[in-house]
Amino acid sequence: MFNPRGLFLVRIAALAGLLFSFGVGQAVAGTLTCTVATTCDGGVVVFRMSDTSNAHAELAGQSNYTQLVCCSGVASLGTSCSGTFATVATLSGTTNAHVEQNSEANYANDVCLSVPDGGSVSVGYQSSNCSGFDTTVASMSATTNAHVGNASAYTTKICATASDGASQSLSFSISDSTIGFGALSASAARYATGDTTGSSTDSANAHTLTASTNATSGYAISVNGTTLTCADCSGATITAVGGSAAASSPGSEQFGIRLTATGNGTATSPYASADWAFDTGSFPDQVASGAGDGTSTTFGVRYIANISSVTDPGSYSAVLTYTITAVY
Amino acid sequence: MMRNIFSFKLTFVLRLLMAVALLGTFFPAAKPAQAAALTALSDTMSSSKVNTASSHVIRFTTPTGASDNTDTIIITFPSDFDFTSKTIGTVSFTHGATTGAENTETLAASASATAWGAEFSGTENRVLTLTAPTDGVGAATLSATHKVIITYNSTNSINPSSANSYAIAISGTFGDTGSITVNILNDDQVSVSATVAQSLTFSISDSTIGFGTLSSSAARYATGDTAGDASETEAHTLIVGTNAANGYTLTLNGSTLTCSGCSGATIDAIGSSNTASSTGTEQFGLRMTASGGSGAVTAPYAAAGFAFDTAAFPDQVASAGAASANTTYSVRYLANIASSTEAGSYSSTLTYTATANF
Repeated sequence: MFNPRGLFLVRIAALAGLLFSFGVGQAVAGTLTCTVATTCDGGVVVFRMSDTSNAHAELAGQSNYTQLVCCSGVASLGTSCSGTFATVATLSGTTNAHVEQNSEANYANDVCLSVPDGGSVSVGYQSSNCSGFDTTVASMSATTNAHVGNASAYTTKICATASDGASQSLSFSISDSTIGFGALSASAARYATGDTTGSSTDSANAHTLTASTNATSGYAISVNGTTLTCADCSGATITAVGGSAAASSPGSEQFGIRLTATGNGTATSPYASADWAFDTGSFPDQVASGAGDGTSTTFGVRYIANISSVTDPGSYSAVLTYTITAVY
Repeated sequence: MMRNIFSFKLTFVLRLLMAVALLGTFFPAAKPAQAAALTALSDTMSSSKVNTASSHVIRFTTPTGASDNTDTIIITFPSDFDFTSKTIGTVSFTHGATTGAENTETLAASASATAWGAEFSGTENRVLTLTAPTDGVGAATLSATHKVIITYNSTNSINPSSANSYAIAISGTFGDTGSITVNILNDDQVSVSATVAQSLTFSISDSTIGFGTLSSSAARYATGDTAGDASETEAHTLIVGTNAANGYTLTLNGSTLTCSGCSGATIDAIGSSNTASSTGTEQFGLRMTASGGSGAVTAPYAAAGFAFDTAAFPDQVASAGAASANTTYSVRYLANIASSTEAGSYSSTLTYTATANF
């Protein structure tokens, strides 16, 4: 018999469901998705539960429980606790276990989410929802000694975000970490070489820097360090050329560098000309940059040193640190 | 019947409206998600070397901002960046519309009306959670399109142990997300070496000088052509320079003018006091002047008169107290004789020695 009151109640329930689904929006950083179900097609089982609520837990490799915490949506997603990973929770045992949050230290059986190197994965614990994360992995009754359940079982949510990082690329290398001038002279310039003996002519790079990225705003390479310093002669230095590119001047103390570029990247002033500079006053100082076109640029780096007749005798050294920053 | 149906429909609509209102009470419309992709993300590190302490200057622009007191900003570093023992005192947080440095937020263990909460968590403290002030403002509202700068200094900030690319994730309830890929290298440094040898420059311009014929009625001065001159003139120069930290000394040794063919008769050396020329009185002496560098003539050879202190030989004639560019010493020689000075050929060999003091 037609029951209009009954039909009314059904329609209210449907409307409530519709309102609830529109009302709970959450920001999604990536595509990681986790569920608690009896199957895990196309995903990875992070751990197992004895039920969807008020449950004990066991490691994914066990087979006593049927409720599977299943995650998917990120390329090469795994459950390794090494490499690029985050600990979802820690179990008191391999099966029939209570759980605790990854900041606790009472239990020994970690369950993790992992992604390929270059990716990122993070786990957090929040009350009521996982806003700010990709997904709710599960929920737990307490910080430690806890039972677990599906996403709705408990107030404390286990949240996770992951990406495989495949969309960002940054490559940087230095061809030689040890170069030298050999013996400096007050009568002629010397140029550093990779074999550390130096040269009297500016004919070859001491080393190269190779860089590429697909970052939206490309990359910048900076140098930091000091001029040539004599450790065994009371810290005497060879004067850095400074922030204005200057030509070689034998008989006057100079230490400087210049860069050339092969590729789409460019050397940055004052290091881009045929003269020399070493702007310690601005260190770390940008020496080169390039666009995020994904193509590789090789920057040749050359070094000059001149001394005067009164430059302290001794062994001089400098350590220069090159860093690359990409802007995505 | 029709009336009953109409009534039912009206009642149904009213009840539906009531239900909607009730649902709105029990299920308030949640804050609409305003998730957006962060822009201009970067992490400027002080070192990219494995297992090395490095600072991180993390920058990004947030299209959404973070102005709700429930907002969090979460920075997650991947394994195996190590921030064990790092404290919030080593982190700074600024934001602003132009540079991102306009407003500096106070960080505290818990959020308050004036401070953002800041907490490290997770394995090796790789997760930093910033929680908005309880008034949602703090130092200044973190508005939409603000640039944000979160700086970790290098204390307890250790790079991973393997060279690779690593992605740093930015998330949180403020809704915006993004990641930053950084490179870790086995070595990000270039070591440069050079040597500077010890140097001592010393030269004598002329090794043979002479007075010509001496006279008891007028002084004679040695010249490089050995003919001598009646007026004071430079006989030769000495050039000395060094990079020795303690400079150099220049000394003279030898004898006065001696006549080998007249039983060793000599022309008297002037001695240790700088003395003016005295015609008709035996005198042999020298004086020097200096130019360039930082060397100086040593008394008694520096004044306008002449000296020749054989008793002190080898005798210092010039010096520099520190490293000195080349100094050119102009050496002048004087000879006077008496009417009774033995006739003959006189000669003298003078040895100059430069000693650097390293």
